[in-house]
Amino acid sequence: MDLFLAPRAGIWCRSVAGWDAFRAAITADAEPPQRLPEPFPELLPAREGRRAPLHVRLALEAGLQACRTNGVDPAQVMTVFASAMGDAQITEYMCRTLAGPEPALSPTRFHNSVHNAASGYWSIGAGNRSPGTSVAAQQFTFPIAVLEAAALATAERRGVLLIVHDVAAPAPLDAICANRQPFAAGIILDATPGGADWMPVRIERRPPGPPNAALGIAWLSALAEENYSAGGLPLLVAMAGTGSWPVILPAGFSDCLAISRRD
Amino acid sequence: MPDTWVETYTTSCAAGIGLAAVRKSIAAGRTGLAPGSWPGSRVATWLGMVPATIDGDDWPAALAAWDSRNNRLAWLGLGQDGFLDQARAAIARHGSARVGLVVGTSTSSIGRTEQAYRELLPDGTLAPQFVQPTVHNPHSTAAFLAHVLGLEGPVMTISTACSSSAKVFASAERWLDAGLVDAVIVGGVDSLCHSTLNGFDSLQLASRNLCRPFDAARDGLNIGEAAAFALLVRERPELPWARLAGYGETCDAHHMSSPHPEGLGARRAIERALARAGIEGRDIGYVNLHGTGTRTNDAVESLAIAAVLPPGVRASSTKGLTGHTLGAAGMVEAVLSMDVFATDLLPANFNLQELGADVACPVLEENLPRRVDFVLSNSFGFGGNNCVLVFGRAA
Repeated sequence: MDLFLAPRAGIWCRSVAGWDAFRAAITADAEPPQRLPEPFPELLPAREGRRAPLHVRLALEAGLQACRTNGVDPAQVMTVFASAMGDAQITEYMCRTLAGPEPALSPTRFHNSVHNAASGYWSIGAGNRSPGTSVAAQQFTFPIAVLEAAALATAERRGVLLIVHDVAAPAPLDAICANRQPFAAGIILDATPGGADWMPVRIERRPPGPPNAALGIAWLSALAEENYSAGGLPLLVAMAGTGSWPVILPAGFSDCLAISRRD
Repeated sequence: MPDTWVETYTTSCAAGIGLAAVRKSIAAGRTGLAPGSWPGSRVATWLGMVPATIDGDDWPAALAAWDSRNNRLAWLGLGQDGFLDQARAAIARHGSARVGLVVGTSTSSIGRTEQAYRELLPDGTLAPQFVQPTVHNPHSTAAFLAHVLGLEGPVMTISTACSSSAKVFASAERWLDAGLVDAVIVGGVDSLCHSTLNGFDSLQLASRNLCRPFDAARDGLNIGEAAAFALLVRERPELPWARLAGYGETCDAHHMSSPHPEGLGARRAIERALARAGIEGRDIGYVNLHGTGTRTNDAVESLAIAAVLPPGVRASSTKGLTGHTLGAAGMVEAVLSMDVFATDLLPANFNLQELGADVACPVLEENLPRRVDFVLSNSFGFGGNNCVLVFGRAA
């Protein structure tokens, strides 16, 4: 699939928020020492924003950054939200409550428990009525979501915002997944370029082979080990001009996804 | 774009295991719903439980890592109507790397996670049999099916609440159009569990009674479980069962758990599906409504139908037959819609006594024998997520 990739990604992790901060941070071997306060993206009215779970707020923050820095309208763009574990904090709340003596659930937390909660809040907050979806593929969530977003942009000839987001898994769920710290990123793909600096890319399946996606930046490698959504970091590093193209990511046990530059 | 063919399909739900049993329930007007409560639950309601024992001790030891009610239900459903054989034949024909899998689910294996929490060790950690990294996540059932089928193509879970397994058709068609794969196995699997029962109860949307979509006295939904699958291919099979004619996807931009009051998102999704199919509303011979049985949803859906489709449209909700199978509902109802091409029988709107005064479109009071060429199926989910499918007779 031949598409155009918006040149700037949205990103939020505990030490870095935003594309410029990310570009600066990846020149260093060590993670920036600061620990950022949780994001409260403007997309949500203050009341809902305070009540929305971190899992949702992370996604909206990364998506809004991607739209703003690339001049894309949050109300019009089609969306693919992707999360390997969904909102693990709500999973923990629900399963613990249901196992307890008084198994009554909060109705708000129940409707926030749907995997597409972030998609719903985005649609409401941005007034976006375009097609929106929410997908998962465990450790392959990022490349599979790229495939889905690319197929959607190709079919509709319109822009697609792809957002990946996962939060740290609380105990005891930390025993069954890798997520140890929060991470969200947003990228935008379109069939036509939104500006002169948009990157012409080819997105295609490749037979299995050694992935080339060694990050070469110690703290990013650690982050990628601690959040399934951070599996997309090799693409972000390549977009920042620090990593190499094509970006080849394992997309299944016997399948790879390649993102190449066409220029 | 070339056509997307439905080579075969199957469904297993409260109304029966496999197509023959479900057809029999429809013909006899016999609901699969029954009063009762889920083991260990205080929520008194009616349930759409599959009429089969799937939680016995006969689960293969080799699949212990994948054990969950959702995955057991998926395996049961896959084995009906010769679907597994045809899926394997497609994999052999195209090669395992050229067949994709897209599963829609809302519960995934959360029932197993609930059980793990009930049986935590005294130190608060998971007991060894529950340390199942492949099970306690939204992708559990898709990963399980890819494993048992030996698939090497792309495998994806769509989880957009109650539109999940309608959207699998749209994604599959795009994958076929982009040449990523030659065939896609699409499915919808959701299983009964405490999370959804207590959750819908907390929202006061679960009825204590038999659900009665579009009825004047409707007072909520009954949750069901199901596993349903279809095999989509690009190359025309010798005897295709149906053709995916169109789909329409929208978001409401209104509220997390209530639909847009005028059904605007639903209406736009119907319009998009018709436009993509290149047909008019009058060409639709049968509409399978989302029709959950809650007061607001049914009224709003009827407004959307009345706004886009002609006054004489033939429509019914089959949730009074199956229960609301949530993440599996899109696929179950896609199958029931397509099956009209095989049976020439439009299913009645189950459990209807008196049409609600707030219902703006007609619904079928009885099963209606009729040959139709196009069917439309509505699926709407939390988050204001809408997906409408149009299927055509393969002819």
